[in-house]
Amino acid sequence: MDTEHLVYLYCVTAQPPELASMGEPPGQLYLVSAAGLCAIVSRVEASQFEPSHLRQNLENLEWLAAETTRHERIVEAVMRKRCVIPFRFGTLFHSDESLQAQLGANGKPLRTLLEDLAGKTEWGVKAYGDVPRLEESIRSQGGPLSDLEEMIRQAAPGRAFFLRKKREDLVKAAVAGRIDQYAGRMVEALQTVSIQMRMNKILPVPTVDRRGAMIFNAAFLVADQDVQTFRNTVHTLSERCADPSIAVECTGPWPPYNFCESSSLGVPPISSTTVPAVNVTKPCADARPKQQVANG
Amino acid sequence: MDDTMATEKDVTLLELLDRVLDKGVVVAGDLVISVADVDLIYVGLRVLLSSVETLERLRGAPLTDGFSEPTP
Repeated sequence: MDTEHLVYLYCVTAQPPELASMGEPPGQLYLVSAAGLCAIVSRVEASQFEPSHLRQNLENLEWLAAETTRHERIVEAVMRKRCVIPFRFGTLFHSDESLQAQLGANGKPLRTLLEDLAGKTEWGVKAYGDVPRLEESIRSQGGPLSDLEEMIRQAAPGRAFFLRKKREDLVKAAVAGRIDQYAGRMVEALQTVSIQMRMNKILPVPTVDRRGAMIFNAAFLVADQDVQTFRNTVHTLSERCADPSIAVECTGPWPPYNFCESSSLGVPPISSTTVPAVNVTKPCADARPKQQVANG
Repeated sequence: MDDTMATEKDVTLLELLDRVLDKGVVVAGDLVISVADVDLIYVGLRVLLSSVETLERLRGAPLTDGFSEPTP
């Protein structure tokens, strides 16, 4: 077994794509077939994925950007020609044979997933809110808040302090309410023009970014014939919102990363937070997951 | 159409990492490296988000043959 190289898996298709048209250097990519499936792979140096190097590499933004971009570029190139199941960054095999064994063990669920994903792409919708501006607009709305404002003006210093705190809590709650309401409207409208939706965690985008804080992060699986309608709907939502403090971004088409859950393969999901970086020099003979017997 | 709508293929690295690092099939590898150490990733995110880089720029080559819109 070659210990210096590993087989890096990008994606799986039903029919082999023509690799010459992928724009990668000749010989870079190759196909591994098994179980009526075709895996698009390349050989990579094992050293960069070894635990000791990997951590450093992941902290190196240039490496991370270059490698994840390469991963995505290849998956997208295949996606232009074929329906794909995108694999997570850094899915590695010791040999073509061990990959074939995995394809064999997962053949049925992978083929079913490919059928389900045919003619569909993923679209991402994220919204960003300028929270200070949202707070300001709520403060200027009047109502109970301006009553409170009046009370603060007339209160003794000690009591005014607590009233101010109460006012800020009310403002924050009102902002959260407005965001919820907006997110709810987006979900409701976009679900009608998509096949599946996945809500993702809000990423702590730093406020130095011009768009403000992330307030909504979701992915949608959209049928090809509905893409234009989907985009129009996002656009309409964004306009109807008419709140300059909120910006909506729609990106796509993406490979369906969000709709290839391992659970759909009948394999127990691996919790990403608890899986340690596996020692790449470990022999793979016993690493062939037993859980996959349940798939067939 | 909607020129005012953000991005399309003008994709930030954030969008990419949000997918590639912790979405997608995670099953089959002999080794699936753990890149989902949240703190670790956010170290990178903090750096990169100070300037919103586009995927195109990172790729070093424009996506000239982007996806064609399906005709309704």
